[in-house]
Amino acid sequence: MKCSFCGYLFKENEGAGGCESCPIIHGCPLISCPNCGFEFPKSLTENNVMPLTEMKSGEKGVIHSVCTKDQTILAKIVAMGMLPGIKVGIKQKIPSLRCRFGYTEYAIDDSIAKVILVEKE
Amino acid sequence: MIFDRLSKKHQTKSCCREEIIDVNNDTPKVILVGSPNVGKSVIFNSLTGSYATVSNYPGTTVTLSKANISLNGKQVEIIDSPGVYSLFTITEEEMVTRNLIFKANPRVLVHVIDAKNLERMLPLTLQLLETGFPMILVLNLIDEAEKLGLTVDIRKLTSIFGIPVITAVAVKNIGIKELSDNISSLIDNPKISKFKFDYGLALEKKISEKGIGIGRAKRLLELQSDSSETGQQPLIYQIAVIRQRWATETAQQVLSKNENGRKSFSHVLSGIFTSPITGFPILLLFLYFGLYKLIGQFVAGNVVNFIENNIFGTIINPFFRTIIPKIIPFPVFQDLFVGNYGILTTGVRYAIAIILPIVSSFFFLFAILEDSGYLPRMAMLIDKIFKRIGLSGRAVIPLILGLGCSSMATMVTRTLPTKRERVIATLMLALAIPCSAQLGVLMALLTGQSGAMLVWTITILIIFLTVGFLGAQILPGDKPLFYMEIPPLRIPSLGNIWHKTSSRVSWYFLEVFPLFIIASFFLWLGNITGVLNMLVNIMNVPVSMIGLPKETGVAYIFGFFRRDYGAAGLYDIYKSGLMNVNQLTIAVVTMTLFPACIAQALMMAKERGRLTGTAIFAVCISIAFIAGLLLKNIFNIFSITL
Repeated sequence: MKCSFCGYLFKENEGAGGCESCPIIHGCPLISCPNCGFEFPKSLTENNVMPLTEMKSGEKGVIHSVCTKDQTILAKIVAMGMLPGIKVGIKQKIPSLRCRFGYTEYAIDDSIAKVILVEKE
Repeated sequence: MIFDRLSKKHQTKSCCREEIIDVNNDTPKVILVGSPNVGKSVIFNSLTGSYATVSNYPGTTVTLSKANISLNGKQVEIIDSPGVYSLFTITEEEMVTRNLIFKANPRVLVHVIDAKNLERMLPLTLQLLETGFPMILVLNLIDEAEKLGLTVDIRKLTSIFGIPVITAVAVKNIGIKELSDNISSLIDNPKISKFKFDYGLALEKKISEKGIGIGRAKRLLELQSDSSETGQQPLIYQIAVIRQRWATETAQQVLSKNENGRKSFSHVLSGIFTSPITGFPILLLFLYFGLYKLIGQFVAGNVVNFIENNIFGTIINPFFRTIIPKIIPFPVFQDLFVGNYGILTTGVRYAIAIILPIVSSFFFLFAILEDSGYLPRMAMLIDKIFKRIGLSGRAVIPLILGLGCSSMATMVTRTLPTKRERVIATLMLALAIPCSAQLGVLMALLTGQSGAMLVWTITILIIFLTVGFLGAQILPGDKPLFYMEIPPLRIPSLGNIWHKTSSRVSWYFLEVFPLFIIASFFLWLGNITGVLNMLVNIMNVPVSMIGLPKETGVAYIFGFFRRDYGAAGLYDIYKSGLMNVNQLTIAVVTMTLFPACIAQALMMAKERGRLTGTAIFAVCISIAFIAGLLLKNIFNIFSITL
């Protein structure tokens, strides 16, 4: 497996090591590079779950889970109600991500979007 | 009826005064609560007949507004609160709401929600029910939901919660009567909902262990801020997920949708505003036509000239100059009214001929901008650039509002989530963002001088970006996160535009007018005692260092008190031919960078603390002086004549 950020090569079981302190260790579709700590999705073709950032403009889905250790980001996501079960639609990706949650549109940056995991329709 | 309305208007809050809510008085209190941008303030206005600012962007209300009304013969205090997504708060203005709910002991909580977003707003309904106060649920914007083909089963919703549920279209005054009737009967006959949500065995056990003698809502809040639990998902997330699952189920039970998904025109327009290819040109066109052509050239140029020359120059000033000597025999006191810095010939003229038309047109333009829903779109367009200077796209809103009135905008910086962003935005407002009166006068000065205009734009831009960039490096704190609700584009209502513009203009004018008169008085006093001359001589040191004529010293002295008075002073000096274009450019640049007026300085000290406020003030003066010095030397070295 190769880190898509720094290019470091590692085995999949090494990657989980970076997630020790994360409470959502099982079923988290992200893998963390043991070299630089960058988180990116494993291949998720079976269940179609991916971070919001990986979806393309015009695609739709339902929030599957929120996967982050960062309390600040988690608090924001919780406050805005971007929670499992809510329908999502990507409106635009450049210059900022704009998407629809339920019937409300939000602009959010990648650091928030990458921890929201969506089951693509 | 009209008198009624007028007398109520006097109770309305001005932009920057905070309403103090007396939590101990006996008047029954009704609090309007809900997510941002669902129309709480519109409902407040229709219920009370007063005016709280209404816009189409989340975070319009950052303070509390209150009004006493009489409902069926009872005195009731209605309180409008800043929007919250949840009782677990993030920003300062959300804290205001939460504290209010727990401290004011409200007789009725009115939860206002956007009907089409029932699913996402019900978790807050649940949290409010847990506070144990009598409640009413208002499904506002029901017309927008119907347009989407959504219908809500109100009966079912009422029976689930055991509280009154009302549908409303507040901007059209639909549902307001029903709401006030319900408030009235709940006050007479308080009924607390018996609805109790079950969080499941494990969580319920934890809830019951948290704190004795406090309500369920507070226990849940404490539980959510508890991060000691390890090996499991954080409690804040667990609780939120459970609530959301319930909300989704409930919404499915009461909502039905007939599929006729059509792409409305506003959706197409929304895409045009936010796509980078079309969005940036639209933004530039707006700045060029709105700010430069309309306000800079037309209002600050033609309109101001007309009022100055044709009304004050030929009618008002000559009239006072002949009449005053007839009433007051002493020349010294004649000067107080009609002299060089006379109250009538300078103070009143600055306020009415120069400042009033410019400020009104700015506020009018911004009212349209605020109500259309364009501001949040601008925010997302510019977020990536702002990240470089330590801000997020969110900061666009206070900064743009700062072009109207910087003190007002300094207060709006509350909506920024981190202290770091708030400090940088406050600094920018004091330094690089000129307020409307100042900008208008400055543009009028620069009109026709394309070279000077170019130098001014580039200098201010460079300073804005450099100071932001350095500020972002120096100030501690995390990188800002950007998240913002993008409300639907709406056609601004004329009534609201008029209301908002007129209330802001009258607030501004009432604030500025006495200050201008006081300023004229002190100039007169300084003039006859010789203090002014002394000050001008002192000011002459820095002023001549940046290559400006001695007379500009007066403008800077008063720039300390109000930037717009200073700018209007420069306008007079330039019109009398005392400066060449190079000097004008330097003067305009330094005056733009010059720190806030007194009102803004006070606001900075209040919002950011005295230390930070003073530091920002000092930084601004230094940068203004250094920039002037640099410009002068650059002009000299390269022998540039603009």
